[in-house]
Amino acid sequence: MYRSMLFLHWKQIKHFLTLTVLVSFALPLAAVNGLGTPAGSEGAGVEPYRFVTEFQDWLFVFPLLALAIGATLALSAWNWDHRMGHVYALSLPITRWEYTLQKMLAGVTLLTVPALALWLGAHVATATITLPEGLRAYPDELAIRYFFAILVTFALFFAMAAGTIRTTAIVVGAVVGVMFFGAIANDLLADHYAFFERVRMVDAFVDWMVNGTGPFGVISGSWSLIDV
Amino acid sequence: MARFLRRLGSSAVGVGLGLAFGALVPAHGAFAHAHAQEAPLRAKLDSLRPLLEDARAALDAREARDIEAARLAAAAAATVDTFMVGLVTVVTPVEQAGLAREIFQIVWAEHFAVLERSRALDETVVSFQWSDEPVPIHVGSEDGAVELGARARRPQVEAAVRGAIASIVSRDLRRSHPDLAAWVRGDPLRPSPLEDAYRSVAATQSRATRGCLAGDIAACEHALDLREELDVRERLDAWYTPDERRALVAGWSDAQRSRFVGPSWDRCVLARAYDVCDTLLTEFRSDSSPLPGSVRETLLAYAIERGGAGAWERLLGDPEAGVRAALVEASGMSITELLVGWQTRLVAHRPETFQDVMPAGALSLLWTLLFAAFAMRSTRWRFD
Repeated sequence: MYRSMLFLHWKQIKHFLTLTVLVSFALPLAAVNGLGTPAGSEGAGVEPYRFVTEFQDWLFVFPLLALAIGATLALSAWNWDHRMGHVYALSLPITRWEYTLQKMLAGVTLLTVPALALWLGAHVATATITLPEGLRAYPDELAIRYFFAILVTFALFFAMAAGTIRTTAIVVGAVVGVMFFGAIANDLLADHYAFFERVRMVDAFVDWMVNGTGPFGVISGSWSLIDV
Repeated sequence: MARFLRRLGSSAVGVGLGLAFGALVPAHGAFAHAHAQEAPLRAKLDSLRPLLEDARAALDAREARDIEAARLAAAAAATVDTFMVGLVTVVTPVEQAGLAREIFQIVWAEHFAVLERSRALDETVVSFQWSDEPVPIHVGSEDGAVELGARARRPQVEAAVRGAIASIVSRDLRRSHPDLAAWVRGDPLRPSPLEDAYRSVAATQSRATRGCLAGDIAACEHALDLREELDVRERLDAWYTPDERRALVAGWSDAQRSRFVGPSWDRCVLARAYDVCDTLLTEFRSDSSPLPGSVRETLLAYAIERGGAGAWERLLGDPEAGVRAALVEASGMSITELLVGWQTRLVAHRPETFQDVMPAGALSLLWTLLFAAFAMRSTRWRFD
């Protein structure tokens, strides 16, 4: 059953997945391109400051790519079911939760592929340059962060897509509504309650989502392949 | 009156434009005649100009007086409270006095308790307002105003208060010990985080910084530019290897290269003439020391912290003392002891870049399980 799910999902997503594997592999190589000098050459690794500062330009790309991969994999997992009216699932002699679990495991298997590609790319990238003294490469840690960022995004969108499109629209709409109208509501409440003058509910919510114990805490940490 | 003056100004401009237009309109044949008439008209126009300028100046003065009167009226209507926390005199709207006092007390106790005297603080009143509708409070000094909108969070407010006090106190340093102020180039009572200092030290291409991180205290002394008795060439040699000095020159921008050096740059970088590199660094760069002021701030802050009560006054006590002597005086320790303590603390603050990755990963795994549970409980369809 799991293998059929995996095959079906792969058929759905193969072009996108191939592309993301290539991008995930190439991204660390592109990020270190032009930094330092090739390993073993004269004067190698004499620009530590540049390593740390110029790599910063690439940092935003890693989490964005992880979010895109996770969301696309999750939505594509349910795409076929929604289009066919869940006939295939209904024809199977298994419960819904088993079906969902198998489908999710297949998706998790697929999302490990771009994470592995990034891990490999990060190792190749750091092997091509000599790091200046005092700096270190973190290919394993970067790949772990990348994997978990894809995983949690996948799980969130998978759960939403598991319901109807209407449910997904309501959940997404509610979140967007809170973000957009929450600030206005906060201002209105602040006119009557001093508490809301100091506490910004939307800011606190976003802060919890990315910096606290919220689901996206893994995204807010460092994405530096090279650091002290 | 203002309206009259404005009208007068407009009329003068209108007359001027009319005269000018009138002077331009005559037909081509009458041009010479018109030209002859132009001179007296222009003279008339010029005679109006001082009147216009006077009118404008009077109008500006009137508007400024109105604004000032409104400000004074608002200030008189605003009820403010004045109190002292430590050496800081604070003035704030009366309804914020309790909160302001609490914040200043926390900040003072945490960061400025070592201060026993400060001329700059004696001379300055700090205004504090945490509101979207600040009342006009004028304290006569820009760095003495802490004004934040209601949206600012408490840590931001405390940071702003700390910044204001540190900035004021820095005036003492610049006034009493200019050499020390020039060396530290920042606010020692609001030093950069040690993690940032570590990153600066580790990411600097210098044999002195590498030695310092490895525990060589003499190298720390060089890296922090504390060997005042050395001349520029000796310092360069202590800071950088010849290849590093060449790399410094090689890293100059095109503008710097074309402006100063051309052939000398080629000799240094391409022909590896190291003495030329040294000449370029000594003659065309005012300061080639490896570490920024933010790292020096941390050493000075550490010296004050170790010196405890009275450290700030001892630091500024002898304006003739060199930087080393001032640090020793403030901390009450030998320079070696001081640097050993600072270096140990610096190394202990090495940023753990991916320290959070496993806990954050575990947390995202929990969220994944939660989302999976939601997905499995969905009632889109079921048949058991």
